[in-house]
Amino acid sequence: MNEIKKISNKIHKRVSKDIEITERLGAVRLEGNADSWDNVILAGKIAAKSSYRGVINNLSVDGINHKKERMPAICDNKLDGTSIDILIIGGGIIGCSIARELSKYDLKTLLIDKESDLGLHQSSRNDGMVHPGVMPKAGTKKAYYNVRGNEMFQNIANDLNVPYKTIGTYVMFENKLYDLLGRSLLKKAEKNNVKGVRHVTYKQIKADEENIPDNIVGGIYMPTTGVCPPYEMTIAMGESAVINGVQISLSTMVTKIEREKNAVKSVHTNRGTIFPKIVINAAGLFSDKIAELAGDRFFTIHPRKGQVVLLDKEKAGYLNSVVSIVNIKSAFANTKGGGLVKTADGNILVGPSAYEQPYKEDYSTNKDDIERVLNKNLQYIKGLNRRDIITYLAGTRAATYKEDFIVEASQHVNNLVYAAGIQSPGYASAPAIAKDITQIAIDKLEKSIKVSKKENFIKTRRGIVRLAELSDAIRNEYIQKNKNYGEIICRCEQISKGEVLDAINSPIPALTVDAIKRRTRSGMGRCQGGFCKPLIAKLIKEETGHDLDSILLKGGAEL
Amino acid sequence: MKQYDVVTIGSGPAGLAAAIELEKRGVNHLVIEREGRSGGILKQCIHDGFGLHRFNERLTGPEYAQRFLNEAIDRKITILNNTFVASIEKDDGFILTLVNSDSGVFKIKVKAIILANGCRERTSKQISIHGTRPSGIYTAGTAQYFINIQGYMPFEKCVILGSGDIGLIMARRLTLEGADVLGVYEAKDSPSGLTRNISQCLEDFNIPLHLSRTVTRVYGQDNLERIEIKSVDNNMNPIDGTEEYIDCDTLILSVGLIPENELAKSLNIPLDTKTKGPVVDEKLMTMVDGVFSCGNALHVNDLVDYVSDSGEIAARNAAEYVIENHDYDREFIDVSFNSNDFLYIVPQRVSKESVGDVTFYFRSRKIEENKILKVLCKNKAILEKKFNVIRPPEMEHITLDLNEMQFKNSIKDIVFTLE
Amino acid sequence: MSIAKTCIVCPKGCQLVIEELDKENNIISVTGNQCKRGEAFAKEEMYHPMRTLQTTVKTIFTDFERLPVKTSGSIPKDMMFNVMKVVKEVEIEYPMHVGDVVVENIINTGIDLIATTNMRI
Repeated sequence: MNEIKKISNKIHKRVSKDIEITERLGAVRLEGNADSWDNVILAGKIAAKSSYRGVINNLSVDGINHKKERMPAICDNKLDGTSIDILIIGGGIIGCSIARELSKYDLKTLLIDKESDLGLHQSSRNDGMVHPGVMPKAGTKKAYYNVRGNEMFQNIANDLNVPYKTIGTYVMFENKLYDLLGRSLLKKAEKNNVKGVRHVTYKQIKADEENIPDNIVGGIYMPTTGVCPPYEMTIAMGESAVINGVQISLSTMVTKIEREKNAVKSVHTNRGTIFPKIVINAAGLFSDKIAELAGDRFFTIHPRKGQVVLLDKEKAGYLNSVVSIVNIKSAFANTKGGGLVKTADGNILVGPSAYEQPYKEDYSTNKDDIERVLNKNLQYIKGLNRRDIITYLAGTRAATYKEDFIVEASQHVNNLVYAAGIQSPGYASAPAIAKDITQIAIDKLEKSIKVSKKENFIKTRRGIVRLAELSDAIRNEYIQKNKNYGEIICRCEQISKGEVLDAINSPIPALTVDAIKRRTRSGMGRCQGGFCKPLIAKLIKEETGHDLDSILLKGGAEL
Repeated sequence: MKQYDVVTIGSGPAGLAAAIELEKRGVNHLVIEREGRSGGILKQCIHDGFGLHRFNERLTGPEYAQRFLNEAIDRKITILNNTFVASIEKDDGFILTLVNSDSGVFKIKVKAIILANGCRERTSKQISIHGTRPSGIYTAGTAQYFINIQGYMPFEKCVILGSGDIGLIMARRLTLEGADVLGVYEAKDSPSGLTRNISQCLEDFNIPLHLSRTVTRVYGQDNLERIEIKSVDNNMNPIDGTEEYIDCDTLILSVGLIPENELAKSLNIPLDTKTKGPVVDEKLMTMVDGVFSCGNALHVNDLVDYVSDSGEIAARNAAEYVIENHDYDREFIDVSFNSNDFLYIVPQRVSKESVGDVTFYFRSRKIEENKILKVLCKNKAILEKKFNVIRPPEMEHITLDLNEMQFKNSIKDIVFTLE
Repeated sequence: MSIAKTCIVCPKGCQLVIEELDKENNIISVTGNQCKRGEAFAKEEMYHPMRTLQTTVKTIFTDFERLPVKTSGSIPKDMMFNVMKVVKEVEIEYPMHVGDVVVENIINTGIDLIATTNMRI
């Protein structure tokens, strides 16, 4: 019995008979109706267990209407008729890392994103953890890219002037039984070539983390875990690319892709039609939509949502690394299981959770899930409680049913390259993915043109200075040179007018209060922008002439 | 490094009153203000009702502030505006690291500090409002700043959460500026603001007040579109099944004020968990010698007149502290009370060496009628005062003559009771 | 006819009960007040309620964008929105001080709109 038949039988038995299972582009395709989203997912997972390279899950559920994705309001000809070498669709950490890597070559590269700023989806909604690479299954692309990316991260963070800390992970056990689990983690680490992973005793953990619960018996330590602010890294990558000649166009959304035989001929957007030699699909949650527009969809993204809670910096001293307490269930789940993360900025992050739901851009938080996150994870460190909460937020993961990255050239469209379905550990993997994608793209280009490396690639990027972290003497020097650095606008985080102006005038200009917040941290403190929001809005208005409505994001973020 | 006897941090109604008092007493002092203009929150409190006790007039916030500012200018008091206190260290006195555009980063050395840096607003995350993060949700103070200082008034269909005075004032302000205020919602079972504000801000404009109701969720991707409201039980927990949905574009949060005490924390000054401000004695001196606290940084007041009073008391005692220059070896009598009767009482302690009058400020825990407040010293009532009605939103005060407390050395505490 | 009204003259906020005894001669009875001002307020409130109004007017100055103002006395309650309309058209072109008249005899109420702060540019 062929594989399609086997899958059909399983799905018909376990999910519903109303589902049609066929094969397309080397993937399993599901059409029909399911009675719940959970069953849509179940059918997809069953199909994914096959040897087919992907699952195209077109199942619908009565009552679930997939909302249209958020579209930019603007419509013009800014990019019409543009001919370029490489078009990158997607301005998250993946797209921006690729852009930076490509900017090392003498090429005309354009990156587009439908939002008004870079990294507004997954890349600004994750815990900033640069995973060690233990958890992904050996042999997967996740494992391959995670470990390599992790090794590259510190150097890139240094070059781009983004704070990076190696903090390590303690996976702790409450029960000697879990020692077996510990051994399996060590094996995984070995298979994936992750350095330094080892058994630790309660005493050893306690020496590093004095607030761990008393009932811990031991654990596994993964020393190579790092943390790095993800939105900051994304913007830094984007800025570095721009500094080196890449063009970035925001509020630009792909509406149609025109094919000529086995190649993309043109890409239509709300800002005109682009003629790229090569197209790189780094569109995250919408990478399946881009594939569809190119007539090449062999996978479907099912957005797995997660929520996190951020605690006041006052409790920074209670945790130094990443901690979690693992039990059998979480060890085999699709996510890292959540825990407590000490971010590079000093806040303790609680979570994330993980659950399936149909909406890619639904970033609403809800009380029940936040409660679950707190109930599960707060207990990992003594002394943390709900009074320490300053904010909570949600994100969705661009997960394929195969639950692995798609990093490869298209099998059917000869100028299309995929960096698609990148979910966790995508952040850690980004530098390594960027290298391979760049190579694939350049190999393709070199079939028709000569591609040479730039001689004057600028690898560093200054970024926005953080005066509050400098010594008094150096801070003073800055102020003497530019008075604006002496006027404090955000008093919770001690951000000056000069820093806000730097953000407004940066290579990828920050034109909304939220964009300033992402680049300078203003508004992220105790008062959550209560005092500084109007001041920053006024500064943006004075610098750009835009009206307060668009600066404060009323009416959408398009400018 | 310049040296001063006293530095006052903040030039709102507390800091200005303190500075004027310090000037009168001839100490060498300086005022630090992080904003460009002095006056604190009064600059945006354009409504009247200020100064009835102090000036026997009904002034607007800016007028009240101007009175003090004029006197400060007349007395040539030095106020450093646009100057930020980056840190404070204890060092035979205190060293403050300040930041401003003119002088960059610089330090000053002082003998005493008056913390008059006010309070901040509680945010939506701190009261568990879930959902998306659209524009259109503002704390009342921020909305007030937008309208009154910047003239930015995008608010059209508004819901206000919280019936404290700021929420009520904003209900009226928004209505006068052309918005449609759909209602004021209050999680408690009684209003939080002054009764006359319910009258002149809500009743005057037929704005409904809904008690025991709170906002639990907001909707809208970029802009606020609607909110979910639920009833709450006696413990203020939302009750499932009582949902109501309201379409609106603005949600104003007036859900509490929190005294700003990051600087106090950095000096390890003990805070009172009930007031969220420092524990102080009758001199308004914190438990760290030489650091005084006044105004809303000490505890959240309703009437600005008392804020200015506290600034003067702190200043008077700060001046005495530097002039007399003696080592304080304070022994305290604690102010005790049943937390079923009172939310808090300030000052929290009285030093045994103290003489004269002390005014205690307090809030009852719930609405009480026909109660007698007694101050007991060794089980004997040394002061009694009758209250026809006493409500948490209306702070009360009584003045105690410390000479009434005989044999002070043997007393551990005085007890406030409400019977 | 009787109405219940919170007195707004001072922070005490006495709960008044105002009863109309003689409509023709405008005679009322007031209970609940703790002082004479409450009695006067009650009479006014019954027949021609008056209010003071505070708002802001725009200026040409970018570092002092709005000038807070108030009515120099009370105006009829039902004229408040008319005053707000007029206020929208006002623009301050030179620095003002507490008590300066911004609009004289605003919509013929006999009351001025005056500044409540010093603008120091």
